[in-house]
Amino acid sequence: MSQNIKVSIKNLYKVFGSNPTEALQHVYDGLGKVELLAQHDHVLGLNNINIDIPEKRVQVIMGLSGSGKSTLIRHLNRLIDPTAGEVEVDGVDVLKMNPSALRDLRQKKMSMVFQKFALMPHRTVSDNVAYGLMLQGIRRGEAKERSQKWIDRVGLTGFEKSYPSQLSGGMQQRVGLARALATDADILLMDEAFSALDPLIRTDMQDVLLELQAELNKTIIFITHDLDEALRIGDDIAILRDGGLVQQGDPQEIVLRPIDEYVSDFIMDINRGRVLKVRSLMNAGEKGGKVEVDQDMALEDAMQKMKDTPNEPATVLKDGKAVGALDMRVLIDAIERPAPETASGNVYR
Amino acid sequence: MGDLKFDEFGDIWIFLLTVPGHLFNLVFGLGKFLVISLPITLYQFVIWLGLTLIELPVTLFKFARVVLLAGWGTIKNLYLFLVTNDWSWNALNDFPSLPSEFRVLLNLGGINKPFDYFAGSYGFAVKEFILPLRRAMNDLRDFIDFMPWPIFFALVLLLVFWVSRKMGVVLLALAALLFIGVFGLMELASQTFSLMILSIILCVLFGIPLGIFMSASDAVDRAVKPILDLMQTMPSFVYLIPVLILFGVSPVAGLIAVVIYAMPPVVRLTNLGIRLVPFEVVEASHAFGATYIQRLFGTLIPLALPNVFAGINQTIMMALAMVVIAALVGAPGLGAEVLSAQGTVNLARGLQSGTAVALIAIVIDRSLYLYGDRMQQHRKVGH
Repeated sequence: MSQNIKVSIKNLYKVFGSNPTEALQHVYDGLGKVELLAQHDHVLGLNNINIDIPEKRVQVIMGLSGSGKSTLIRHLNRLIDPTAGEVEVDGVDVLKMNPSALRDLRQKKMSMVFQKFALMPHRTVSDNVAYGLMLQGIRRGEAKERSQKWIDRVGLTGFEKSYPSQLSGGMQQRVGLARALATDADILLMDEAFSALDPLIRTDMQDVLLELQAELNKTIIFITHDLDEALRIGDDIAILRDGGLVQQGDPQEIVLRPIDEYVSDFIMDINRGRVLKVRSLMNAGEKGGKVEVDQDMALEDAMQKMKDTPNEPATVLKDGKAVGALDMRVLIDAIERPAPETASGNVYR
Repeated sequence: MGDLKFDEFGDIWIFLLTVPGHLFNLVFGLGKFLVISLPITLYQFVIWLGLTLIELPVTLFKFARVVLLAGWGTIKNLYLFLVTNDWSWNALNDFPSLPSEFRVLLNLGGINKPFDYFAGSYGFAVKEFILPLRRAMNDLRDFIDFMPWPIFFALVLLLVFWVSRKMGVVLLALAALLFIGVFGLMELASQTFSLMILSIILCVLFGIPLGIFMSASDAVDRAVKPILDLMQTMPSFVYLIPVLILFGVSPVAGLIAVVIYAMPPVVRLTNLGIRLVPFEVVEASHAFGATYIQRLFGTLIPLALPNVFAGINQTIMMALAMVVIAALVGAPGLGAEVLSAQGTVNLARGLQSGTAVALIAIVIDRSLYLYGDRMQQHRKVGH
């Protein structure tokens, strides 16, 4: 990928317990999470995480609860200190920063949206949004003026003087989002930001985020346990399990080629026809028939177009030019849910 | 409250001429206390601390001597005890106590003598640094005392209304004032007020920073909590003794006793309030790069405020409860009246002044409760 690496996580370990450094030696010696807890009474939070997060993309980090995803995101702005490893932001190691450099990073470079909103209950909406700016020492009037733009942008105009407790969950998270955006930080950390919302409002907020991202091009690191959400907004997905990284890559790739049972269990219930794109399945360079489909079309839409000529491959277009062909059989194979044998062994559910 | 009478002036205009003086007194009385008396007290305290530190080697030497003596005495007397004690079955009736000569040594050498030494060498310095406190108390008392009663009534009722926003409480306050006035307790009440106000200012001034300090460090928390427990559970008559030795029978001795007794709640509840601030909110302030000071004043204290107020309320209640006991060491006011009524077995006088204390307590409690309630309400409407 040609993009610059914005955040780079290298060999990151986190052990919780009374003597983490000693326990870490056992991890280096090959002990897993379960053994470490049983034999040494330490919890392995993160186990050798390596992720490079490119600039201006949405990196989703996924996992079930207890997989260490919230711990991982807190290492990026050092709300939690790791036991070993490196976290580089724009090439600077966050872990070597002194307190004032770290404050600077948190104030100007990285902002965060929280699962439980974490708004200041004693501040009005506009004071909450201006919070990050006020911490930077910008005086109140200017901070409010600058934050007003973001209040309008997330659709909370008219609620400036309300207190968070007077708003619904979805609106509170809009405040949280506006607060994070108001500091103009280029990295946005979102810790299960939409998980506490109702499904409809969640979709709504995802739309808001995608819309904003199309315009702002921030580097977003998004934590979620919801695969549909991950597939919807993620440019890249990393899947965590028991503190270790299981698979990372393009959403298409993860759906088509799950690395192990854990991942295939994860993707079993998704709507493959809607997630998978034509470009992931086409035979590049081959010639197709009369029916034309765009390479970024979802499979279910492509199937609609191809249903009248099932025996003839469709031509795949990119920017109006033919780049390959898509066979109906391939398409149906891809949409088919993986057989229970391959995606069974329901140990993780 | 009897110093100014309309008759003496004979003319309302002459009375009105005194109003600027009263207003001046109103500002000056408090101002003098806050700007002059209190800083001087703190300054004296720092000097006293410095002197104490300079003299530390001598003190340590004397202390070591006492410890050595006590240690030698312990060994000698334990030996004597083992040798001379009756070890027969009969002796099981009573628990074998330390021999009396050893107890004398322990009490006199271990505690009383060192304290006397302390009081002897620092007594003057202590009196020096309590002088401003005494002045402040007198200032406050005079400030209340010289005020014409209608102004005093109006001020109190306005204050109660501003704090409680409820006519019921204002009427209760009016009833309390009338009760105090009718039974001729106004002058005593003003002394009690000055004692209360000063002790509460001191409690808040020292208590809230201490509470913040405790919330910031678990070690401090662990160290201070037992001391607070001790301050609250130790029978108050016990610490009246050193207070008496150091300060003599004086209003300031009463003040110190009240402060010791009444400070723990505000310390505890400040600490608790800050520790109860939701973790997510604290984490958010970290995530946006707040310094400790920004977090403290922008997040922790505002969110702990309802609890801090509950602590101040408790402190006031405990201070009022202590007023009578503090009268034993010279705290003037309604408490002293209760005490003297008890001495002369005069039920009526005791009831009157006791009721006055109770009424003051109820009015303050109700007002502050409503204030705290209101403070939380405008943030917790809706969902």
